[in-house]
Formats: sequence, structure tokens, C-alpha cells
Amino acid sequence: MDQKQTSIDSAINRVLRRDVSRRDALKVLSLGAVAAGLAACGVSTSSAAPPASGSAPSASGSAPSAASSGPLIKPAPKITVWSNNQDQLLKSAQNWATELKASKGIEVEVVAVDYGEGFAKATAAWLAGTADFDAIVMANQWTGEWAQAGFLENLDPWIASDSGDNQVKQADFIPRSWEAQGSWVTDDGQVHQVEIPFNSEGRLRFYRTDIFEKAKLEPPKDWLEYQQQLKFFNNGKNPDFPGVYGAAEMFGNPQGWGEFGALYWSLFPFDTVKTTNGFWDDRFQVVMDDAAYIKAAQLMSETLPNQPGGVKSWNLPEATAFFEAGTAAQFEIWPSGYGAVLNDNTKLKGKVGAYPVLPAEPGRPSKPFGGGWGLAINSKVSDDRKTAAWEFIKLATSEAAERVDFESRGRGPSRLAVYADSGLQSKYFWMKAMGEAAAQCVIPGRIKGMNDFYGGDFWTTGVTAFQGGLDPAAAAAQARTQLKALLTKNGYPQDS
Amino acid sequence: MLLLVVLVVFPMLFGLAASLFRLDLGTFREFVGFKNYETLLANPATWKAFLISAQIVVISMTVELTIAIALAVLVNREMSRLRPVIRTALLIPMLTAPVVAAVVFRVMLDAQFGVLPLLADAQGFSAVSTDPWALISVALVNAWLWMPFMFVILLAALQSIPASSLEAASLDGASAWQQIRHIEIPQIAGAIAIALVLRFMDALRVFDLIFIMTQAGPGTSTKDISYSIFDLGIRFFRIEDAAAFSWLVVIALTIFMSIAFPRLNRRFDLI
Repeated sequence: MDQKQTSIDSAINRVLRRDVSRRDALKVLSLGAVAAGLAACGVSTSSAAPPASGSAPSASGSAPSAASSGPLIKPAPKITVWSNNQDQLLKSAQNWATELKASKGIEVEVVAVDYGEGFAKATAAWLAGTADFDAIVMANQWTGEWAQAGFLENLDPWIASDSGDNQVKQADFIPRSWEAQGSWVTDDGQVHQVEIPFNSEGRLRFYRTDIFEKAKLEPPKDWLEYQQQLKFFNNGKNPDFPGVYGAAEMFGNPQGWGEFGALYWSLFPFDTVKTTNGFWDDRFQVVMDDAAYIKAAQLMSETLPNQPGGVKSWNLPEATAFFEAGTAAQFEIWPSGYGAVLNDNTKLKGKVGAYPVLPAEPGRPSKPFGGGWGLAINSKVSDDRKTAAWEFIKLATSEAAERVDFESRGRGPSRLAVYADSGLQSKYFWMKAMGEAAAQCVIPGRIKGMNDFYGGDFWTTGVTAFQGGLDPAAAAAQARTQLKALLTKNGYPQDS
Repeated sequence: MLLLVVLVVFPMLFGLAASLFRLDLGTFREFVGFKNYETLLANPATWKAFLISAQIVVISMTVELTIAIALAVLVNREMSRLRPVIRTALLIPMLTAPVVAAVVFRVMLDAQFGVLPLLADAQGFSAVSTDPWALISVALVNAWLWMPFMFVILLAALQSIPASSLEAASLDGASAWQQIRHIEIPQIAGAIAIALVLRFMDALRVFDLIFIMTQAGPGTSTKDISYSIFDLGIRFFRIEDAAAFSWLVVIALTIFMSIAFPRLNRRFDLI
């Protein structure tokens, strides 16, 4: 039976490769008209799609047709840009759209897309051939799938042949940002840039200086000090600080993973294991450290009784609101979104400080969870539209744009010069710490399948564990299996 | 007929085919037979999703049925004058969009600002982020939304019982409770069975309430079959896994209904 099944499988796979004999065809037909007909659907779809499969990503586009002529082509008069709907990204994109119209006469329509649906919406549009956006603001975890499928324009020729205003130079960017948002390694080991960093950051902790001063406390240096502070405030029952909790963290899915990841990475032996993310090595073999995973989950769940009720479902809005209301002394968040709040909220002026994310134990390094967004060009649009999109990207990611956006909307800069600006550092107290976090943070990885990694089985096992719903040791074993399955499924076979 | 094929048969068969292949961003790559099914069945999360759906169905339907019968009997026997008003008022939840209901209850259950924790003197307690209250909350809101549906069906069935039966029982000295238990409920048993079958199929598909109220959390404690399929297919674009999961649900339901429905049909003569 197995042999027969294998034979049929093999025959169908030959059909997919268009390497089919009459006998093979009969085997396929023996499966029934339905499967055979739909297999044919597969062939036709497959033939129209970019090459794929294999353990390494396929070329994200050989040199684009605009490679040599790109900058010489007259830009289209109007283009569309899809942007995430977070203020710091959307308003920045809208602002530079207006500027581009004024400076170069190119009209840019910015379409807001929610984070939760961004990946599926754009992917579906590309697959259906209706991807009418010319550039897209994209999360770093979407790079793998889209680059491998050839949806993203290879920007190398554009960067190389560029000159004039707002020239994009790799050396100007934080290396981690340039790599994460986003370069992509093709089958032959070549690294291509498919996005230009548009927002870079690592998680940061903010605290209420007024509360800390009154309590004669210093920002904690590790998770153990943090736990003591939570107990000091005693869930709002400290008579000197009625209603004030020691912290209000984002324990919900997906944001809770940020703190969990930071604790895990602070414990991970990066000095002995060759890995950038603590989960897999450069051969994509799982190197997860179970002891660190278990300890991180335990430390997180131990603090739950000292957090406000409901934190298990909290993400950005809930935690921010609680902190803003003065009912929590500290919390961890993405500094880009929160920077804008601090800029606008005069009530909090002078009452908030920032410090790095917490290592699990004294003497361990601070390893914040990193995130970021990039701006990419849709490879499926015409050359004149690509040229216009490139003009938009250059303007929106320029150093001048980063300064304006950081000051007015909090968008996380990606350029070294902006973070190093002493003027900005003295004006915005979190700027220096934000720059250090952006440079030191760990981005979970760049593989095909990262979108599944963020929120899939492996991810939710972690959430369940640090929320106290699963024994940490059992969770570690389960997560290891799920991580191996994820890598294998996405074309990175495991040795054992 | 062509419309039926295009709108119903083709999507189903396309889903079936997708479930038998390895897909790459929706593009067919490799025939893998039943491997996607094997992977799903080997994943404890799949079984947990079925269990969560079953729990939601059982809690929702138990609450709905109990309240609907009680209200229908009460309105039929004691409040005949107010019947149109009550019937209309009770239809309001059913006419409310589930998304709206979910948002309202999410706010009402908020640990810090919600009115329900305040009334229960339980500020700081969040039902939607505490296990097992999150699942119970979803099930109860689902019951709140759809109890009127059962109520309307049962009230209509009760109204069809000849008044003479109840009068005769009354003359024979039967108490109100005895009349309800031995005359009214047995006579509307068929209607109850139909209402249960319809609600069973609907309650299994709860998605919007979970999406708004709990986002499948805390952890995965409210991640039912619909949410799991949404996660696989829409969030992660694993179309083949989503298709296989959908077919698993179809197969499981077909088996369940092929066992349960003939028995119900024999007992209550439904169709």
C-alpha cells in the first residue's frame, strides 16, 4: 500500500514538473478526476509563479529590468504606497507623500493597512495579480516569504546606480537594521537588499520618575530587583502608593513575547553557541537552550500575581493607558510608538525616565527584542512606477526625514547619525537608550516562515508557558519540536 | 446547477486538493498525500481546538436551552398580553451584530474599567484573560446572542399545544409544574431537537466573539476550530493546513451527525 502510494505521489510530482509519461498520467487519473483536475490547477499556478522550494531561498529577482535604466526612466506621475496604520509609520508616509508631490511632482496615495491583516492582504493581492501598490511599508518578518517568491524588487542596482539627493548608503545605517529590514540571501549565497529600513527599534523600559523618587527607588538592573519592586508596591495596596502597581506589562499575545524573549536571550550562551537569535544556527539547525527557556518562562509567570488584573490579554493600548494613568510605576514597550505619546503628553513631561530591558539575573546582558519596518518596491509593477516608488523611498528614509519623523511622531531612526546626535539626545531623554537598544537588540530571525514563527505554534506555546498555562519544562520540549517542524516545513531540514 | 458547481462544489474540491499538496504562498508545489492531515492530527493543538469548540457548544447550548424554555413557558402561560413586547425585546440580542456584542462585553468585562467587575466587587479581575473564565465568557455571550432564537422556536411550539390538553390536566388536578413537565415539554420535544441541531452547527463556528473578546487567549485557551483555521489560512498563509483542518472538521461533523441525526429523527420525527 505504501509502495503504491509512493508511486502515485511520485507520478503526481512528475506531473507538476511536466515530466510525465502516459503511464504516469494513468496513475494520476486513478486518483480520480477531482484530484487530477486540481493537480492541473497546481501546474498552471506553479508555472506562473517564481521558482521556489529547496532549503535556500530562490533569487528575489535577478537584476531588475530597471537595473541599468532605472534611474533614467521617467517616474510615473502617481503611485500607491501601502503603509501600516500605526501613527508613527502612517503619518510619516503621508507626510513624505505630500513632500514628494511638492518637490518632484509625483503624487503618492498612501493606503493604511492594519498590522494583523497586512501580510495576508498583500500576499493575496500578489497571488491574484491585483497588487496595485508600488511600494509597501513591511514588517521585517515578512521579508522571507516575499523575497523568496520574487515579490520584492532587488534594490541593489537601484542603490548602486543612485546619485543625487538622499542617496542611500549602507554605511549610514545601523548594521542590524540594514540586515533585518532587509537583506535577503538567495540560493547562491548572494546577499541582496530588498528593503530600506524605515523604522528600527529594540524594546525599552519606561518608568515614572515621580513615583520612583517618592519611593526612593532606582530603576531595576535585573529581573530579581524588578520582582522586589513589584512586591514593594503590593498590587496597589502599599499605603504610601494607593492604587499604584509596580508595573503593568504587556503579557498578552503577541507582545508578551518581547519580555519573554529578552529574559531568554539574556540567559542564552551566545559566547559558546554560534547563533544570532538563540533559536537556530547559521545552518538553520535548532540550538534552543531549554534551561534558559524554562527559567525565562518561570520568571515571567512568577510576576503575574503582582501585575494588574487582566495583563494576560494586554498589548500596547492597555499597558500604555495604565502607565499613563499613573497606576503603574514602570513598563516595557516599543519606544517608537511610545515616544510620540511622550512628545504629545505634556502632563507627563519630566515625570518619565527610560532604562534598558532587564536581564534575567545580575551580570547578564540586556538583550531587547528587536523589531522594525522597511520600505520595499513591488517587483510586479512597471519600471516607471518603480522609479517613482524609489524616489519616495529615498525621501522617506532620508536622514532629514528620520529627524523630522522622530521629533514629530516618534518613528524609530535607522541611521547611526540620528541616534548619535547630541542635540536630539539632550532634547529627548530616551533617545540614547533607544539607540543602544536598536543596536543591541535580537531580531528573532530571517527565514522563510518568520510570519508563522511570530504567532504560530512555537510562539503560542511560549505565551501559554509564561502566562502560567503550561509547565515550563513541558513547554520547552513542545516548543523545540514545534520549532523543528516550522524550520523543516519551510525548507530547512533538521539533522535529527 | 452551474452556479451550484461554481460556488459550492469547486471551492470544496479546491480545498480538498489544497489539503493534499505542499503549497508555497498559495501556489501548488508538491503532492504530499495525507501528510498535512497526519501533521495536524499529531499536533495536540488540533485536538485542543476541537475540545474548546465542544466546550463552547455545550456551555452555550445548555444555557440557551434552559433560559429559552423557562422564558417561553413563562411568557406562554403567564404573560400572554405582553407576549408581543417581550418577544420583540428578546429579539434585540439576536439582531445585534456579534462584533458589536463582543466589543460591548469586552468593555463591560474589563478588569479596571468594566462595569461587571465593579458590580461584582471584583475590580482587577479580568474574565476575558483568565482561564477558564475566558472560555466561559465567550460561551455565555454566545448564549446571550442566540438564546432568543431558541425562545422564538419554543414559544411558537408551545402556542401550538391545544389549550384543551392543559385544561383537562388542570381539571384532573395536575399542578403547573406537572403540566409543564408531562405535557408541554414532551409536546415541544421535536422543536427543541430542531433548535438544538441548528444551534449546534452554528455554535461550532464561533469566531467573531473570540477574535474580539480574547484573541484566542489567554495562551490558547479559547482557540477553537474556527480561530485555528483562520490563524493557519489567513494569518500564516498556510492554505494547505487550513484546508486540511477544514476537511477534518467536515469529516468529524459528518460522522457525528450521521450517528446523532438518525436517532433524533427516529425519536422526534424531524424530517
